[in-house]
Amino acid sequence: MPGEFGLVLYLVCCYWVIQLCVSCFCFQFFFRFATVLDYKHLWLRYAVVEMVTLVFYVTVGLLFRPRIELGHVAAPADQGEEEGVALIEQAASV
Amino acid sequence: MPFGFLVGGEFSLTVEDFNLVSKADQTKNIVEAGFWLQRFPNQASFQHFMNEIQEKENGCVFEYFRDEDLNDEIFDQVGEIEAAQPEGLFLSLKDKAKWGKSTLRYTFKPGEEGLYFLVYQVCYSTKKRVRTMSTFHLDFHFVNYDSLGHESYLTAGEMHLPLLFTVSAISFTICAFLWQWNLERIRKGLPGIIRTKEEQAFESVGRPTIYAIHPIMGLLLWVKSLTVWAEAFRFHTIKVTGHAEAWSVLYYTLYFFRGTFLFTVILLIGTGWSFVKGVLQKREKQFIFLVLFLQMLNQLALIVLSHETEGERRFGNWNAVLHLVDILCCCSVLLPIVWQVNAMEASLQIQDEGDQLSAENRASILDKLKLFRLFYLLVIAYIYATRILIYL
Repeated sequence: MPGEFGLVLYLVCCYWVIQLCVSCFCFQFFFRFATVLDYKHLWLRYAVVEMVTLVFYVTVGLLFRPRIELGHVAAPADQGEEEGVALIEQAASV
Repeated sequence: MPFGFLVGGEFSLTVEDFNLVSKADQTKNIVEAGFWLQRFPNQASFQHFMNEIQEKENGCVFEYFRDEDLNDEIFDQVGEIEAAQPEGLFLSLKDKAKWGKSTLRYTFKPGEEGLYFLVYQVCYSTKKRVRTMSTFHLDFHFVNYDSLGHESYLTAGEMHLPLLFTVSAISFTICAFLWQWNLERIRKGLPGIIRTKEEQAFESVGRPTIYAIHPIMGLLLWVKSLTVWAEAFRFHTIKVTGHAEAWSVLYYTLYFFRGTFLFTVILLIGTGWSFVKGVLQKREKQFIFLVLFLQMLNQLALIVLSHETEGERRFGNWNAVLHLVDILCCCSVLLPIVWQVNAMEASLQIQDEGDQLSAENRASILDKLKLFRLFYLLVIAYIYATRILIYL
């Protein structure tokens, strides 16, 4: 179906364009910040790295914390890989 | 080697047992060795100046100390600095009487504070060049005074680092305690410490699931907090004594484990291990081992770098290896997340077509899909922020 295919293509393109924008924004923002600091304020660079690291650890911790899971998730087996059988990790009995 | 001096900062440099080794005896009369401490606005201006010197035939930094016009020329190029001592500090070793021991001391007055670079060069007074080697013992002390009047061997921009790393270490330790406490509570059958309203509603029918990855994530937090503690003590010891070999060894050892461990955890989460599936695919296993190998190489480069001084030939090579391998590792951790997201999308599509998917399962997969996409963006943002800021 060309209509559906077009929509999927559009969504995929949008996804990668957003990715590119996020990457460029991050690069520009941090590059400008790092180059604008004078010799007395170099410690701010470390402060930002520590803060970003803490935010990253806390966010990943919150996202992937132990949760109550109600659904079954079956990932497809990888084509051509015998070992790649995706198992269902079942949550506690519902 | 740049060092930021504040007002009242002290500089002292002592050269002992200086000697020039050359095949031709007369060389000693046509060369002049010396140390020059000069202020530049930043590293880029210094690099620009040094490149110009190297491009000139018989280019010598001491000419800029002696010739006022030339000295003005540098500052026209690199930006005006109002300095009480625009020509910098210079210790010439042309006079053989100074070869036994010579000292240069200075205390910086208001208007002279800034980022200073120490340059050592052997200059030739004629166009004829003879291969010459110089040997000497160098002892230097760069000291600043903090707002409380305590001595600090850290450069002006790093004087706040011991406090910064202590605050960071306390934050990571609190996070590690909270994570551990949360896991303990869930193991005892109690609800977790952070719950959404939706989770609270389902508490009567289920318990949060602890996967194998959760204790590993906890261990990573402990290793991370220990690393930051070691870094805080390392900077504190450097601030007080000027060197911290023992803390550096401990810090680099912990940094090695933390670096490898962090990449392992990001890769394991990215592949969906334990959250989505219990077994890793063959290519995922191979990929994890490859990234871990690269990380080992990276850490080896870091250890070598910690024993080298900036400016030495080996420093440049290992620094390049370090950056290249680290960037490779950073890019490679994104791949398993992309594979996982694609696998989930395919799973949704296949099961949709077969109409085997219940609304509950579909919602669960969609939730996880969103989670992994967010994780992908988080990893990108984290890598950009830390790598760009660290390497610039």
